[in-house]
Amino acid sequence: MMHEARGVPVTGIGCLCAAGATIQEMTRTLFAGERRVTWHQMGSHRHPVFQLDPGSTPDGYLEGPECRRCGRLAVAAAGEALFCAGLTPALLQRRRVGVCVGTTVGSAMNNEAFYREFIAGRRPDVEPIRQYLQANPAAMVAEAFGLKGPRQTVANACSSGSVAIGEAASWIRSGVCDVAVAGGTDVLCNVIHAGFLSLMITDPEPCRPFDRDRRGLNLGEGSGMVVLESQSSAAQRRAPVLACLVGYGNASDAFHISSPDPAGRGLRRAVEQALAQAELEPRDIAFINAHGTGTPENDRVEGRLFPELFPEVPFGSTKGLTGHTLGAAGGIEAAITIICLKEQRIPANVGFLVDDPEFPGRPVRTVTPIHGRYGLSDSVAFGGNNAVLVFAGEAS
Amino acid sequence: MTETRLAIQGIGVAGGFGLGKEALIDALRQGGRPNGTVSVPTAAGQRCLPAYRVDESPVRSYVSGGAWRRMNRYAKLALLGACQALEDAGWDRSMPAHDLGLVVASGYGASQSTFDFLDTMIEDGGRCPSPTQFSNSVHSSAVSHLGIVLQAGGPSLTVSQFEMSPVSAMLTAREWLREGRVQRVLFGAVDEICPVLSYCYDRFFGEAASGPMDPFAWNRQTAVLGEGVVFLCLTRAQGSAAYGTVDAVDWVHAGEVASDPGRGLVLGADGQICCAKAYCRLASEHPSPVAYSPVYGSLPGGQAFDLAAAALAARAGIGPQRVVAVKCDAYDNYGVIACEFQGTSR
Repeated sequence: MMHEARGVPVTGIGCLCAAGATIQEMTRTLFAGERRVTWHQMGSHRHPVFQLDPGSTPDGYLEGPECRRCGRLAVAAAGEALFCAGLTPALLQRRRVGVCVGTTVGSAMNNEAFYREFIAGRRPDVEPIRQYLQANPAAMVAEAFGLKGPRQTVANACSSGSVAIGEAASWIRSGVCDVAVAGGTDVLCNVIHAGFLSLMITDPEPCRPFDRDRRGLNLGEGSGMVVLESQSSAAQRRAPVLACLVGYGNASDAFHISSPDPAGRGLRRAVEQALAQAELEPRDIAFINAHGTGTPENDRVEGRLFPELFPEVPFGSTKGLTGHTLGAAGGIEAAITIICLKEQRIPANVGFLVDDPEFPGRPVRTVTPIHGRYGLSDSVAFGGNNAVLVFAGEAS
Repeated sequence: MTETRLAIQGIGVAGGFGLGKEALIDALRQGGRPNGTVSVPTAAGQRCLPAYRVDESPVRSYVSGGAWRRMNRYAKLALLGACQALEDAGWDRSMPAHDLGLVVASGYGASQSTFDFLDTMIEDGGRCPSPTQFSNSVHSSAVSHLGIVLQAGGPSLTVSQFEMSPVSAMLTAREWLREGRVQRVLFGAVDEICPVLSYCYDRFFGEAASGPMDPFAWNRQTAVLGEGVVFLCLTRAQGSAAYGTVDAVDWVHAGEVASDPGRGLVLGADGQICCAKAYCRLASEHPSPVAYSPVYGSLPGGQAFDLAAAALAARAGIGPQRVVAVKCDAYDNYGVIACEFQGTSR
């Protein structure tokens, strides 16, 4: 089929988040529906967050500013993905390898401690800024593994991880590189948390995507990476192909700086683009990994659009298990989508209890078998960017 | 690798040289210099540093009052450059445009809004952080505002790769056009100066931050802080190209840049000592390298200014028509963009 010929093989995946420090651990947690919520004190309130298990974070992770920790997570996830792909340092040296990483915190010059000193007139040491300048996530991954291809840090807010994967795939198709490490990374950060609190879109309880009584998101942290590889490179070294990226859509709402278009026009266009590139019909899609943050507006858009575009196609959000990891979400959920295609089942939409009468969509409430080769994952960003990825699982 | 040539159909610029193409051409003819200053706190009191500053107020004519008030300065700079480029290309901006992609490169993003948000976090013991400032603090806020004002529903991308942001973003602009995702791309680079950035510049470079800029001084720091915006209207090169074409875009590692004496060499050298050795080697391999950074200052989006300056220099008969613009980073990476410009006025 045409789309198979044009698809970009995924030969490795790596991930760490609150649901697990490895792909293996996350897979077990996802299908067990195990929620690892921790509580973060900010001011006089405690907020639920999805934090990495401190016992399984990468070396040096807890040191340095948040932006640097973002890069360390990306390096850890990339390391697992490259290992999964069987790409040894010697093999990497013989290939042109690009890095495309989505983030929010990893590109933000928002060091709170430094700035407090600055506005107090105490002329703070600029070491945190020096570290920020050395903490570009794509550069950190490339330097960690000696990768010589193009680097791109995508700062599209919450769709960054999905966009990074979609854009890296085009590098492979056009021959810009033979291999690309792509995904997203983000860490919990007080400044970002304060921002979401100011928008009043956080849930004071563990989040409830698509539930009638949902009140917002819970922040999370982590990184998810895939290894994309040209068909010739994968074939030459007889690499096992986990999945193929067959479709990518990227479209804007052009509606509001922080709220999604209630009519979901940008998301609809992104879905249509991804399906068109994949040469698929909506009925070919076996399941949807929804963005499903648990905010009233986001879930309403998806809860209306998906049943209309994909009647009978099961969908669910994994944010109840990972939290909203912002720029990392698209990377983590790409890995989850590939896992689901392999397992031929999708996890329960944890947190959902009560149907919302405002939309017809109802996410899966239990671990649900799927039948088909194609999974769709979408990301919806602050500022109106929408990104959609369609993966094809292993040939049956 | 599949090469796809891009046509440059419009240019919009604002920088320390002023607003618009004519201002940039004048600066190219006369030599550039900082047009303003920034004040930084030092142990001995406030100190003024020279800087290349932009007056963003002319953007007011492009947007409604409401949109203007909701927009941060970073987005206003972007809109100023973007609207000029659209006008220059003759592209109608009154119609919704789903065939238009937006690609913005920025080293530091909306830095002033980031710190404005922190101010609201810190004031009153953090009781009232501003949601508006937060929304505007993300790097993608410029693209979001552009999309809203232009009703551009196509793909969008914000790239933050410090000084390599333009070449990385240009790779994506080319892919979108090559794959037919869009028919047109509005490609730009935006960076703004803020007090924290100025302070850091002074702390990092001390007296050297006072300039004057000398991009060919290989053994000392001479960079002067700059801000500004450049936008290019791009299509696939299938018919006419108002300014010429982008023939190749490449990311090269560790000194593999082949010298081409047949093309003018536009060095991205901007007085940053960390990259001087690489630029020195490139310059030594070419008969007549040029650097335009004294016209716009030192800023992460510099390579986009180099493209605009080279296109306009060729148009004005003061620069070569075939050029390669090279930008280096501290990791021994090279962003290489080869262009062929028109040499006569429209």
